[in-house]
Amino acid sequence: MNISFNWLQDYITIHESPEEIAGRLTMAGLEVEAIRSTRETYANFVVGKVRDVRQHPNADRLTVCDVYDGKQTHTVVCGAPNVATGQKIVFARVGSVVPANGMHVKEVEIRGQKSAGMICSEYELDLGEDHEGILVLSDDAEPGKQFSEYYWNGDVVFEIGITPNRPDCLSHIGVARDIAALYKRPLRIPKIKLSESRKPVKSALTIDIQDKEHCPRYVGRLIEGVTIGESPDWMQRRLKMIGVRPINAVVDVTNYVMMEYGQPLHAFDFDLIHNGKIVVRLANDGEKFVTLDEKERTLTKNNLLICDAKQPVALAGVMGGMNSEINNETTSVLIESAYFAPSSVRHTSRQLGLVTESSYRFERGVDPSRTAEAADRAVQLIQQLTGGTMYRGRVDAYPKKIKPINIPFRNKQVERVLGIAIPASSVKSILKRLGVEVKESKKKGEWRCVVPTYRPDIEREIDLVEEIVRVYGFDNVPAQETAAIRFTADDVRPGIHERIREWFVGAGYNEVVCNSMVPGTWNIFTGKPAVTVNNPQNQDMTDLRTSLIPGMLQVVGHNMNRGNHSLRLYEIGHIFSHDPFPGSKNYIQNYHEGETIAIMLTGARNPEDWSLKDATYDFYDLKGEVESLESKFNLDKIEYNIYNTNSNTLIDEAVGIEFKGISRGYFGKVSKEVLKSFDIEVDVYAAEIDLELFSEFSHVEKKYSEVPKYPPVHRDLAFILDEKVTYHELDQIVRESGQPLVDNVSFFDIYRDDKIGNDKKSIAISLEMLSKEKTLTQPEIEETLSRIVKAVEKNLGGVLRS
Amino acid sequence: MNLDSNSVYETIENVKTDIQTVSSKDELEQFRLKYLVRKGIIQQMFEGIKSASPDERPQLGKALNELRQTAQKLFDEKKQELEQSKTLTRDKLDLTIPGRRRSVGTKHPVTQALDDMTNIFKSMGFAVALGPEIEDDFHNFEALNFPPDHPARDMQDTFFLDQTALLRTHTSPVQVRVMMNQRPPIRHVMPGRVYRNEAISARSYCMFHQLEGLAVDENITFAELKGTLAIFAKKFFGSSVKYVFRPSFFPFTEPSAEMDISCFLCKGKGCRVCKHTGWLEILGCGMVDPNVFKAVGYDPEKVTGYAFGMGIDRTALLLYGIDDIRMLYENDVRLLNQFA
Repeated sequence: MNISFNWLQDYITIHESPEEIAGRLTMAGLEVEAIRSTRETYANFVVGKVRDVRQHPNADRLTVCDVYDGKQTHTVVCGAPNVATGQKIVFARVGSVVPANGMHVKEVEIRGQKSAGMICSEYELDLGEDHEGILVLSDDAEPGKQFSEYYWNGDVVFEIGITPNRPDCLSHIGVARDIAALYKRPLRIPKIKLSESRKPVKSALTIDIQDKEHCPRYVGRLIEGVTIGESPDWMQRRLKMIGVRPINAVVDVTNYVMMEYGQPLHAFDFDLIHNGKIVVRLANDGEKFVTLDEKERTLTKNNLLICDAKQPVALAGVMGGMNSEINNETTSVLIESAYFAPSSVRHTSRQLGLVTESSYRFERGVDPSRTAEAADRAVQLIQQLTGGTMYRGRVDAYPKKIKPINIPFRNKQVERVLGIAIPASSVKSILKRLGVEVKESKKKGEWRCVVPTYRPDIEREIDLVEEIVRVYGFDNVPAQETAAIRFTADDVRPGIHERIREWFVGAGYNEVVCNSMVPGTWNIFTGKPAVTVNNPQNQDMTDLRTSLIPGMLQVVGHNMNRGNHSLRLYEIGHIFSHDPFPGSKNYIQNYHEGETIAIMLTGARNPEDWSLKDATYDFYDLKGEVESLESKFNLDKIEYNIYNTNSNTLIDEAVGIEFKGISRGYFGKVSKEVLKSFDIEVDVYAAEIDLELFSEFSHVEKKYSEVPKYPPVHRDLAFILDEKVTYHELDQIVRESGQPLVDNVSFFDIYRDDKIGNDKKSIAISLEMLSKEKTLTQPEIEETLSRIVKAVEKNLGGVLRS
Repeated sequence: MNLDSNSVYETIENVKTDIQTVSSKDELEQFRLKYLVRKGIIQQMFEGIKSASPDERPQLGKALNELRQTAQKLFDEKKQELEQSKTLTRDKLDLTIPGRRRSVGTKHPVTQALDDMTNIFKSMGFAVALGPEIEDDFHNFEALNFPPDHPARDMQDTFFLDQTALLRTHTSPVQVRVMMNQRPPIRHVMPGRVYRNEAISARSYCMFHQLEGLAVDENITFAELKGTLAIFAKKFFGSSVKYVFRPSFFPFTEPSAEMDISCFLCKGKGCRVCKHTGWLEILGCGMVDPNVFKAVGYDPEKVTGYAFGMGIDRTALLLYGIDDIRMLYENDVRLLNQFA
């Protein structure tokens, strides 16, 4: 809401500077987001006098003018056809900035002629559209006077961010009323004196409200013999100052009164209203109506219409119709001032995507007690500006009275909520200043507060508490830096996210954060039924992600394009689907949501280590990362199986992560097809694991098991095996047959060549043998080894490689 | 060959000169081949004794022995010297060559800010609660006192999934879930990701992160809210930070306030970031509205509560001096690596 500082002073006396008032308003909840001063906007624009006009020697259409700015005479080249000697004009001195386009006025040479300054048009001054000719001021304008003073009277505009609960401040009187309350000053509401004719309005106008729920009050006033022309300068300036475009005197008056009282008005050409009858009713489904913006609207039975005897003439509270608009031939004007139900106007406004100054105010709630006053004010101004004859009286259809509400109020609530006691006398004084009538109640410690109808936001005791502290000042409530708290112990497994991140940070990963809204094509890779957004912002954000991997691949692509080739990334985030998945929860019907951890590796294994420069990540690096992460969280019952991909095509030959028979994730090399769609040409390894595995199954209890007292013995063995025998099978046979001495088996090499033979491989393992009772002897070791060799031969057909 | 002791002493001098020119293993080998092998100069000279006169022989023998011992000694010394110098070269460290490093892990700047803030509240007795990102109208709006068809809903542009399901526009629905799941006392912070249908620009993104706080008990007051947030601001932004609470409006709190802190970049003097006001808006807060208590089945006559919520991303940008919010989600590792 734009508020003119000068305009405010019609209603309240202000001694303070605009900055001070702005600060106080902000601290009372009316946040002044910007202060625009005409003195700044029009710095270096002054009234000038044209002393001489000569033809430009080198240009037919240009003139060379001598302009006196109150101090000295400047030579200025001018292109306007209407410039003439003796005119008073607006002169932009060198160094000024043109408000319309931000151009800096400099001393220049135009076709060989020096020009020091500019004579301004209406357009350049941001006062209107006209840029053909210069703006000519009246003769009494005094050269040298600042234009901001001459034209704007040095006015300042506050841009106030009015919160949705404060419709009462969507007007100058409203803001003045709050200032009056804050500064304990009287408010001056305009006194309206009407000179009415003898003709009673009821003889010409009838109002029939058929839906009093949607339209509790409708006031009509008539004025005839009006001539439509421009409104006077003073009104145009006020409207322009707050950003309202002047149209004609009648429309300008309706806007002026709206900005003054906060009551939206509509002016109809009364000659176009059939039978002088206004009917307020709901539209029929499918009913068509052409609004003032020349658009045909299709309505439903929830839209409230203003109709005449024959047809709709306005969309109630939102916009008037083409068929009854004020035009140059209009002579009789019907002024509508109404109270429409906020939810009804909001509904129509949203349904049609049509937000107007009028709908904005109605949906927040206008003051039902000033409906008639605003209509009176409008006809008074119309008569003042355009002549015309007012019908006597008004038609005031008010089938559903809106009375001030009455709230029981306990002053002890102030202390209970705020933590500070404010004396009853101060509380009463604040309430009174806000227009709240405080009455004693029969109940002890309780008052009855009657709230003015312009404050629809005050409905309850707590709303009064809010008003009291707002005026009392938040600053005057102490910051209590102590609290006696009751401890709660409801976090069963606190901080799993932090603990996981700790591991990743220690392991040298960069955390990434990706958008959860993704293009639909990404979700095809996972094959999970994706959740779609009804109103996506663009085609790249139509779905919610079903996996973190595509988003991270986009990050990989982005980094590759910028020369970052070695990446070690992780993300923890939510994924979504219409189907349940391991770890998912079903908070909202039809939607399943879970958290996963994703790992992504590509490029050099460790670019920071120059001895390993050429080593790039491979499958076993990824598997090692997954295993290390799981061992960090004591998830020792994990099994790795061939991942039954179902329809997931992200990973080629994926390995599934199974825990207690449930698939909790997968990992492997990202498929070429998928990489192609992200324009990635190198190998990328990825894993995605359900976070619930960590939050639910990571066993936190730590228990010590004895560290062996006797030294272990290490022996290496290599077996030649058929290709189809897996390492896992070998490992199991070795462990079983090596009992009780074999404590650990570890892989250290795999080798293939022609000598070993086709379809054969050599796997080398390292054994750790120990006894809890004693140091092992050579025969014991040999005996175990030979048992192992025999078992491998018998069970797997493996031959010891000598 | 005519051998006399002079030529032997001459050879001794030659040996001494030669050994000085030796600076490598190869040259040392050349030296050995010249003097010390069976076919070398010294052995040949020994052979020459036979043809010398018998009275010369003892003297000559003595000289030759001296020659051989000298050559051998010089050879051994040189050998040792060369080996030593070799060892030294190998162990000689160029301290300026970078070590073999590991990559340093990082948390995303948003996570860091979120964790830092969360930890401050944890230290003040708050527990952590989480909630879903897909919510319904009840939890996201209705229970938080946003009536249907109310202009307050315009404050949060919403992504809808169907008639009632939506992407949460704030972390406040977690308040509703916490209150419905347990009874007071409640003292929780709720970090998480939220979504707003706002055009993507340098200043805003379609999703961001919030930290929500909620305390409900008997005797919770606005004064305590102010104190709690004042301590938070001092811990997070530094003890010299100034703050101010301004009245504002949120449907789920009454009274509602916004908290501004003195700009930590210009120390309140006024700069581009704080738009020359000296203040930065960092969070919204207030006393839990009785309608919210009613929606979750609490008696507003028995308990009071406060709630607060702050956007993390913008604060992180200001704190770290990043001037485009989109950079947070591009995840360029050269940016991420700065947050080790």
